[in-house]
Amino acid sequence: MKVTRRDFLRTSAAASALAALGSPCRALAEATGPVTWTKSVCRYCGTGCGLYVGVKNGKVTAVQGDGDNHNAGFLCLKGLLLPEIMAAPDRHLHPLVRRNGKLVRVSWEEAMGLVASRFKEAAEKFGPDAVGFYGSGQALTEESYVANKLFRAGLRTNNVDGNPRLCMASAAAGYLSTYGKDEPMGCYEDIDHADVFLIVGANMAEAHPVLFRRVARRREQGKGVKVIVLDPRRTPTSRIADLHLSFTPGTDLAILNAMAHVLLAEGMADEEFVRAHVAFGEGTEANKSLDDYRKLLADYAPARAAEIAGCRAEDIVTAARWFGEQGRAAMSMWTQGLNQRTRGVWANNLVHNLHLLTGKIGLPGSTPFSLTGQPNACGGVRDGGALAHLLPYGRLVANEKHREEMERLWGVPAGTLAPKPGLAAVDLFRSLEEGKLKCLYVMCTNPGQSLPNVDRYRKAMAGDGSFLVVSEAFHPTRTSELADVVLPAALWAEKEGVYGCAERRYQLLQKAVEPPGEARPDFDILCELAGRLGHGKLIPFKTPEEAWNEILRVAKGTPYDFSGMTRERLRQAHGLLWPLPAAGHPGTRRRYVRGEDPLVPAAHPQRIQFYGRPGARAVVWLRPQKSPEEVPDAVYPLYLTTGRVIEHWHTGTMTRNCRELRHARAEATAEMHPQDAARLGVEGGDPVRITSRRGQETFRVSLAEGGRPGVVFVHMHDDRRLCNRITIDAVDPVSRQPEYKICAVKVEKA
Amino acid sequence: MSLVAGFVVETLPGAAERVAARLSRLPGISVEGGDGNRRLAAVWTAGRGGSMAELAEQLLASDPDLLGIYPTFVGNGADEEE
Repeated sequence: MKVTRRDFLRTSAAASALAALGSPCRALAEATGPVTWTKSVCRYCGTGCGLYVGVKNGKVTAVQGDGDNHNAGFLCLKGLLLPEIMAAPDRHLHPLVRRNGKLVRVSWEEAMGLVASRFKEAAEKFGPDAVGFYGSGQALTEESYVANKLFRAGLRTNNVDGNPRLCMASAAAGYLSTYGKDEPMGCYEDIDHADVFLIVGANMAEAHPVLFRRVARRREQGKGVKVIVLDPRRTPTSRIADLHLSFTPGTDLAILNAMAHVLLAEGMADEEFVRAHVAFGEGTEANKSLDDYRKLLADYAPARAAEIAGCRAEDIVTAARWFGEQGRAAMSMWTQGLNQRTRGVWANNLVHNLHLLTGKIGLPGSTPFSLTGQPNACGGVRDGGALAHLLPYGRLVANEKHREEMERLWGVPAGTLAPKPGLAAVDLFRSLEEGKLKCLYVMCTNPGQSLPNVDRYRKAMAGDGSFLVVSEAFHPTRTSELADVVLPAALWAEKEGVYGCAERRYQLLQKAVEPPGEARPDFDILCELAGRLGHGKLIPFKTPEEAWNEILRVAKGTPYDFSGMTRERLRQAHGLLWPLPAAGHPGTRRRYVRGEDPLVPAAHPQRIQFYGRPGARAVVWLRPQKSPEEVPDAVYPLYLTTGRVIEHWHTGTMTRNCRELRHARAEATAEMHPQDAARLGVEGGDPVRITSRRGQETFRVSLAEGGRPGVVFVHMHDDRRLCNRITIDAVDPVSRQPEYKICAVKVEKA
Repeated sequence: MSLVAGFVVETLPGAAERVAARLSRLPGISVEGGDGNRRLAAVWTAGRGGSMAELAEQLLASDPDLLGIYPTFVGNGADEEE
């Protein structure tokens, strides 16, 4: 009997799907023939799904989910299609330098010589802050660490920031202000114990599909599990919602305060927990009382909040009652809907308030949990201190003792580290625009597409007065097309290093294949640059493992202590959660909890200790409703909000290289409510022009029946139709995170 | 190039049978099995230009009982070998 290739594929596909009913994504190994498998982590979102990279004849040919990791073998379509990005036609293979307006191929020697001389010259002539580094939550921890050390201790500037500023700075500042320490205290396993999910400003079904699946499974298996979704849009996440509470964009602070109002009014607060573990504060001082808090909340009775938010008061009451019901575990999850706001930190504080009021924290299934967009924003950038105001592992630039400590650890003279925080993302590009920042090194990210009000900063990046270096695995991108030097970077399975995902889980990505062409790991490029800049002694590493061993020493004794995560242990493990302060320690599922967190003394008299704050008290912050920077008016009568779709990721440089995904929603559309479309006289597929005070872009209309009238949604992944020509570059005054989620626009027939 | 894909469908509890009946009526899709409650194993064989992502998008948009599509295998069949 002749078996055609299609028959073979069909049998393989059926076998894999059937096998997946027991153990998902495992059958690919058998279906694709002899390959070697290397343990790794998905390159996409911040969930950090474990996987194995299949290599045949020196090429990545397949992936399979790691059944021993938290994702239990599940991957989303993007993850499954990772092999396609490795040999993409736009992989960047050779160094390029701009000459007479055109990028031309040069040797590594020439490219690196030019980069080093321009950075050196700018720092000498204009001072250390004339240079800067803009990194990424996709870079490996060792790469971010080397860049951080080189720029701060070598070039002596704190102008070190990165794209996590655009997606999670408000979450970080929310944790820091409430608990005194950044990063979630809970873990993914809490999903399996939660009785109530409060999903706020997060479209998990599309942005975090594997975690969403775990929530959906818990909902069906747990007894009476409730899912509350707070989102102006009716997204696929709301399919499993028992209550979808849609509201006018930017009014969720009123709703969250109203939920707290109900919790207190109906006796659902845990008074004993509040007395033992909570302080109250306003502004930046914890100098208020529960009575002060009650007075603030008096302005947020459900009816009043509903009026502000354009929703039903009874829905707010229902949400609060479900959340506050005694004996039921409550888990909140959020992402950019809260973070990308001019009051993103306040919004984060208000979610934490609900947990602190009810004591639903630090127990299985009860935790506030911020989701993350990038695979190593937490581990490499937030924890590693590669943001302008930070130093590694919880230390702050503005803290003299922290600077002294880092100077000792890095072996540099006292006073080397500058005391003034550097420029945060948008400010960094504004400095480029003003001509103060002369040289910028961009690694593994695409600000020419991803910055808000992007045309303004594209001009700055392309300007004659600036020198822009871009290290990228793909070319052209909307940033590399503006660069003076484009360095070819190795991608994902072509290099080795650590990723740290949303639940404090650190995992090692092992090298599986050689990089193509002349591409090199960013780690090697940065180490060479350090040598050329005269900082070879500061950056002496020959391998990422050597850097990791130094990182372990830098983290030791801090609240992040993961000094027990040796390289060998990471190679063997399927992810380890910090704190993990000794080689034999199992890791910490729940921080601040006696018996789990090694930083809480075993003899501590209470079950929880918020050791990050004075008096070990977390803070319930008094935060009023505050409107977004821009609200609709007569000229710009609609809200624009931006976000993600399941098929694509970030600026699409990777997902557009997958044939499967390129044909699926790669084009950004203007998703409108049928009422708005009818008013405008347009139908699905018609071209419309969206205009804000900053710029305009043309899209085709897609109609969203379940949407909210007055709100237009555009996804962020399209590199030809840039939603960020329109978005606003106003930032949160604390976190400096831009308000991508809300601006005022008009929509016209194009 | 044609496309052959294996995938798992997650549905609301108890909806798998109804979703299976609906999927089986769609061109190129065969339902290979299920857990009798909320999960199905299926194969999609598509002609030239078929896209698993497009299929997933269409299925998710058209059926509120469907919670997720998790591909387990994607293979391209060369036309000359068919």
